[in-house]
Order: sequence, then structure tokens, then C-alpha cells
Amino acid sequence: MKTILIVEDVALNRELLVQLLEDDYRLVLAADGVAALERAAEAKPDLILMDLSLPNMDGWEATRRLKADGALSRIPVIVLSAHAMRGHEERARASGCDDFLTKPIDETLLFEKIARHLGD
Amino acid sequence: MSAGQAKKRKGKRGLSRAGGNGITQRKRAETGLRRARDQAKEALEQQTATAEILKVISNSPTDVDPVLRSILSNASRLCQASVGAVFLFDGEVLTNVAHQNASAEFADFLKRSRPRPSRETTTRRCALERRTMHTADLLNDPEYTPLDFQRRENARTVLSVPMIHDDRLVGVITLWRREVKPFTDRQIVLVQTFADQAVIAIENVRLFKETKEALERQTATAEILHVISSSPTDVGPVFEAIVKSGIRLFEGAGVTVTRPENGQVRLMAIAERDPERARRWKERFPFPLTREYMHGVAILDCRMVDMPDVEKMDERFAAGKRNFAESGYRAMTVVPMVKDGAAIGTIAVVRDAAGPLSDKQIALLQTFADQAVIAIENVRLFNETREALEQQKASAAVLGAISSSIADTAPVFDKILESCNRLFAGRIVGLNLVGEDGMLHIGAYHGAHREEFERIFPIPVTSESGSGLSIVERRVVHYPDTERGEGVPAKTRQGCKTIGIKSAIFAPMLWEGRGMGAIFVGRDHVSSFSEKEIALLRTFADQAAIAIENVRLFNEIQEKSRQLEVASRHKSEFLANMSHELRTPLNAIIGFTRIVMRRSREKLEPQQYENLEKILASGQHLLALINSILDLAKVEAGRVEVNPGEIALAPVLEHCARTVEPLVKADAVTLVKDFDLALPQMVVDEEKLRQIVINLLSNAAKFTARGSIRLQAHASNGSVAIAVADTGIGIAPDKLEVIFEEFAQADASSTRVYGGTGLGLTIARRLARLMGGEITAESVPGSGSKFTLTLPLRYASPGA
Repeated sequence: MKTILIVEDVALNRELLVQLLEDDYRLVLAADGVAALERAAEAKPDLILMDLSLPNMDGWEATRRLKADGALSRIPVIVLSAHAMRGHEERARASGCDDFLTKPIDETLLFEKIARHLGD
Repeated sequence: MSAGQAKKRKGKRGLSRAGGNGITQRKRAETGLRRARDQAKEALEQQTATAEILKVISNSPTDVDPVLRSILSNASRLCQASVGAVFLFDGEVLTNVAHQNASAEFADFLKRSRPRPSRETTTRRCALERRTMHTADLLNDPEYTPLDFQRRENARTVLSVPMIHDDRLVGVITLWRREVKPFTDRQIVLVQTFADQAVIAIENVRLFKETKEALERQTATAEILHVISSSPTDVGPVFEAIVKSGIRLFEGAGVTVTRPENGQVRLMAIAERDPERARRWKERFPFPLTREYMHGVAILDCRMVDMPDVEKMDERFAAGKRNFAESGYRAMTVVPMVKDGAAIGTIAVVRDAAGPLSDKQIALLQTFADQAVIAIENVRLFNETREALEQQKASAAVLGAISSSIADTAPVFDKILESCNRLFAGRIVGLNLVGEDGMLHIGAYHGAHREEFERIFPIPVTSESGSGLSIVERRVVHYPDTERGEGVPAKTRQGCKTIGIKSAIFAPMLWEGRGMGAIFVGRDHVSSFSEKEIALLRTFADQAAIAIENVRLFNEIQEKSRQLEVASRHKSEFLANMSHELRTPLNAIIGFTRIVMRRSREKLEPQQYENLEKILASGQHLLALINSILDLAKVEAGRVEVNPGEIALAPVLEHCARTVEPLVKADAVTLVKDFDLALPQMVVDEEKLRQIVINLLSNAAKFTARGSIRLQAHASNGSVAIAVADTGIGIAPDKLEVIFEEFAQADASSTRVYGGTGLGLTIARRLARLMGGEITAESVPGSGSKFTLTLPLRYASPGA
């Protein structure tokens, strides 16, 4: 079973992702950017779902650091953001993320993207 | 009867008497021959005389005397007269102009007596009746009473022939014989011929003189006109030309041009052949402009004053008469130079001899006066035009500075002061400004003594200074003499003295009644500023006020736009945050609802499942609303860019129709694609085009319960019209524009029935306009609506 790191500060939304994915994946959770980097280093997940607005360290910075870390840079990062203004997606992609999804999350689209990045 | 005719008649008579016998016959024949010869000789002499007179006439076109003398000597000789005389008539009296063989006594009498026409003598009778008078013997003339010397002359037979021109008596030729021997018909005719010739000669000379005079006058006036046209900036040369022409045309005279100035009559030009007399005449000027002088009357009453003889001069002109007596002239004529009913000067002719000017001379003087007026007007207009031009140039330069330096008053002030310096011949010019402390400070200053001047400031805005007073009383304050003039505030008097200023003017700079400062000009001599200068300074003050106000407004606008920018950034940030904050809970609502619906479908009562569907639909509607608001905000903030690309229109429309198909009530409504697949390529932002068309189609689907929805398109004249026509509920005419406003649907209650955010059309129309197009609506309530999107076939960015 593949491991997915869920980085999300809002508990309800974290819980929603858990309910959607727990049957099919092993899940590791983080509520801010700093924790995200720690969990990623410990658990070496196969994929990371990254929120952008996070306390301590935001998602853009966390993504940039992950991608700058030789050991973690290959892990696909899918950004999940409630930011819908033009510019956010570009910024996220510039920080190195591999994909982008707008909240509220369309579950079908989410499953599709996860499967594609995991090569399933 | 002509001489030729007389000869012919005599000849015939001679022949008829020829005949008879022997010696008598021969004697008769000889006598006849001699007579004929005599007659022929007489005729020849007469013809010769006539020809000679004609020659004299043609040789003396300028002088009638030689002609008259020639006539008289020929007439006397050919008519065997003892004495002859020619008289000229001037309309009143007869004047003797030539005589032949008159005794000294008779000649003297002829010269002295200037008789009127009467019956007293043959000559006078001839003049009276204007026909030839022939008195066979004066001793038998009952109307003639000879004087003693006339008796001694012993004149017996007299012939007087009138000289007539155009029915007007010109003169009389009279011949006397000291014996009773009437003149023959031929002699009378001869004298009449001579009289005619005399008339021709007199007429010739008159015409010649008139032509010459006219020519001289014309030459003179033409010369003056030439001077006028060649000296538009100075009247001096024109006045000189007038007086110079004047003395040429008026004999024995001096000519002057004068002008009134400050209550005095001033001499502008004088021409007089005798320099000494010119000098003395000049010394008379200036004299007071009063009616005691002829010039005064001419100017004040605006009429010609003619004084033919100083000795008979009216006592009213006491002062003028004194002037006159000392100058040695006898007569004077003063003609006013009249402009708009007022005299602006005079032209005067003074003469050595008493006597009036002729009408022609007066007319000529008047012409000169008119020309002088023209010259003065020319110069005035020229100067005014030049002055106005300079002022306009200056004020245009200031306006130019104002418009090109909206952020800074300094260039404007500089331009104003520079112009003031030039146009006012000011020694100092400056601009004082009311500061935030309510005191007057130096805003700008050109001129000497800057340090001394600066030491005086700041000063309060009170009537104790010229600047302050002009601001307090909101008027131009003008001191022609700051040292001795009345009402000069002590501070100004002292300040002016310190920096060597003798006259000063202050104009307030006012904006909406508020005093902003004052402009001032100072000169180092006592002088009045003219009305025009005052007006100009006021203009400069206004311009300075405008400049200050411009800069204030500019700064205000800059501050406002900076604030607006901040506000706009805040709004955008707020919208972004709001969107984020709303999407986060929506993510949970929609996500969990889906999970429950998917995992618990079998466990839930159908009613509860439907409730979950309603939660999901509401969540999705809320999401759509958030998206729309975000879109609208983006368009409003100008953050939406048009990304044009070349597309084929038909496939895009096909795609839109397919997208909307699920919304159409398939059983009752048909979606008709009513367009040509060969629609042209267009350059447009495809994503926005889709957004608009889908919006229009989904609106149609929403409001159409049965019938059809037709998607039409056609291109023409560089634009494309895409229309969506439905058979739905329609829109009331008064709502056709309202529906494009935010959160408006034709019926406020319809949102609840038909759904929708109420922002779709608003966004669609804004996007259409953003791409240089438009959306219009037409409708028949109850039968359907038609929305038409027009777009340019090739998008061109507004900047291009």
C-alpha cells in the first residue's frame, strides 16, 4: 500500500481527505509546512497532497524546500488550494509542484490525478 | 458771315457793275478790280490775323495775356479803330486786362474803374445784354454821359463784342473810333471771331491751371499717402510730409500740424520758408487748449476756423490775436483733424496776405487733415496690435508654462516675472504668497536689492503693505509716486525707498475669492501704469493663481489616486481572501455530502437522500456565486486580460452547444444550431467567447420550458453577430437593460424559481465590451427573447 502525506491545516478538510483516501492508501498527516517537511523526511511518502495557506511555513515554501532536497525531490506534490485567483497556480507551479487542484475538491478529479502520479 | 462769303458777294457785285462804255467802263473796271483786290487783301489779312492768334493761343497755354494783346492789336489794326480794350468779367465787375493806343489818362481810367454791367456805356451795355453793341455816334447816344476826359478823347463810334462761354459772360472787347464811321458787317464778324478765340484761349488757360493744380494736389496727397504707408509706426514723417506739401501748395504761407495733449496745444510739425519766422512761430507753442485761441476752437468745437484778416480778428481770440500779431502773419485758417466726431489735432495755414482761402484750398486742407487722421489711426492700430500681440504672446507663454508644469509653480512664476519685466519696463517684479502661517512670503523675485527686500519678509496680510492691501481689498493697488503720493502704506513707502523704487503696482492673486498672494511691479521713476498694463497684470495674477491651484489639484489627485490604488489592492486582497475563506468550508460541505451520499445511499430513506442532494446543490450554487463574484471583481479591477488567438468559429459554437445540451429540457425544447459551418476564422479570446456564449445559452435553457433555442451566427463588415433566440418567458421592455446589472433578473422572484447568480449577464457584457464588442437584448414577453453578441472579426487591443 502506497503512502500519501496529507498537508492540511484545517482539521475538517484533513478529515475529509482521510475519509476519501484511507481505504486505498497509508496516510501520514501534517498541519503545517514545518511538520510537512519532517513527516516527508521520516515517512518518505509516495505522494504529497499540499495545501498552500499553512501556519509556520506556507505550502509554496514547503514545496520549494521539498523539491530542493535531493532525497525528496522526486516525490510528486499535488497542490490543493482554495486560492482561485489568477497567479496562485502559476506561483505554485513555479515553486515546483507537479499538479494543482482547486477546492472544493472534485473527488473524481482527485482520484484520477493521484492514480496518474503514482503510476497506477 | 465769314470773310470768304463776304469776298464772294463783293466779287459778284463788282462783275454786275462792269459794263457801259469807253473810259468810264475801264475806270469802273479798274475801280472794281482795285476794290476786289482790296477786299481780297483784307480777307487775307483777316485770315492771317486769325491764324496768328491761333498760333499765339497754342504757344501760351498757361497765360492768357499774350493772346488778348495779340487779339486786340489785330482787331484794332484790321478794323481801323483808334483805341481798343479788353475787359474780363468775374461775375460781378469788368476788369481791364489789355488796351491798345489808349492815352495815359484813358489807360489810367480803364485800370482804376471796375464797373458793373449797366446801360451807361457801350461796353457795360454789352456786358449787361451779352450781345454785340454798336454805337454809331456816342454824341447821339441818349444813355451815355461822357466824363471830361472822355470828351477829350473824342470817341465817336464804338463797337463792343461780348466773350461768351457756356452762356456765361467771360469778357468784352471794345473798339473806339475818333470819327463817326460805323464798323462794317465784316469787321463786326471779325471781332466776334476774335472774341470766340479769346474765349478759347481763356478756357485753355483755365483748364491748364486747373489740371496743373489738381495734379499738384494729387501729387501732394499721393506723397503723403506714400509716407503714411511707409511709416506705420510713426506719425512724425507723415506730419512733416503734410506741412512740406502745404507750403508748396499755399503761397506765402506757413503750415503747421498741432495736437492737443494734457490741456495744451502742441506743435507736431511746421513748414515755413523763412527759418527765422519758423523759429518765432514755434515759440508760440505749446499754449493752453482754450477757446481764446483759434486752434482751441477748432479742436474743442471740432470745426474749421477761418480768419481772413487778423486786423478784423474777433476779440474772443484775445490770446490768439497776441500770438498772431507777434508772428507777423495776416491770415490764418485752422482745420481740425476729426476722428469719430472729435478733433485729435489741427492743420493750420498762416498767410502773409489777408484774404480767405478758396474752396479748393480748404478742400485740400481737409484732405490733409483726413490723411493725418489716417496716419494717426494707423500708428495707433499698429501699436495697439503690436502691444496686444506682445501681451498675448506673454500670456500664452505663461499658459504654456502652466500646462507644462502642473506639478510645480516655479516655471510659471518665472515666466510671469520675465514677461512682467519685459512688458512693464519694471525695475523689480515679484510675487508674494500667503503661506500656511497666514503671512506673506516671497514666492519669486526678479531685480536688484534682493537681500534688502528679503529682510522685510514675512509680513502680515494687512492693509499696511501694498501686497496685503491688494489681497485684503481684492483689487489692484497702484502708486504712481510711492515717495510723495497719497495713501501709500508706510511699509510700502519705506520698502520702496530702501530698494530705490518710485512707483509700484500690486495685483492680488485670487482663487474663489481667497487671496493666495500678490504680484507687484516697481519702477525707479514716478509713473502711472496704463489701463492696459493694469489689465495685463491682473491677467498674470489670475494665471499665477491658476498655476498654484493646478499644482494643488495635481497633488490632491495624485494623493487620491494613490489612496485609490491602496483601496483597490485591499479590495482585491479581500476578495481573494474571502474566496479562499469561503471555499475552505465549502470544500468540507461538498466533500462530506458526497461521501455520505456515496456510502449511505442504501441505508438512507429516499427523502433523506434527496435532502443531501439539496445540500450538495446549494453548496454548488454557492460555489458558482463565489466564482462569479471573483470573476466580476477581476473584470472590474482591470485584471482580466484578453488573450487573442486565431480560431475557427463554427467548432467553438458547436462545443458551446454540446456543453449546454444537458441543461436543455430535452423532451420539450429543441436546441437548433442555425449557423453556416463555413463561418470565417476570427481573432478572439476563445475562453471568453465560450464563457459568453455558454452564459447566453444556459440562460435560454433556464427560461425556456418548450419550443426551441436557436444558436445563430453570421459575419459581415468585419464583425460577427452571434445570437441566441429562445421561445421562453421573454422580458418586459423596461427590463431589457436592467437584466445586465449585477444581481438583477427580470423578475426579482425569478432567482428562486430559475436559479442563477444574477451575475452571468453582467459578466458576459463586460467581457464582450472588453473585447470591443457588445451584447444587446430584444424580447416579446411571453413569446421569447433574443440576445445578440457582436464582436469584431479581428480583435485589436485598445492601445493598438
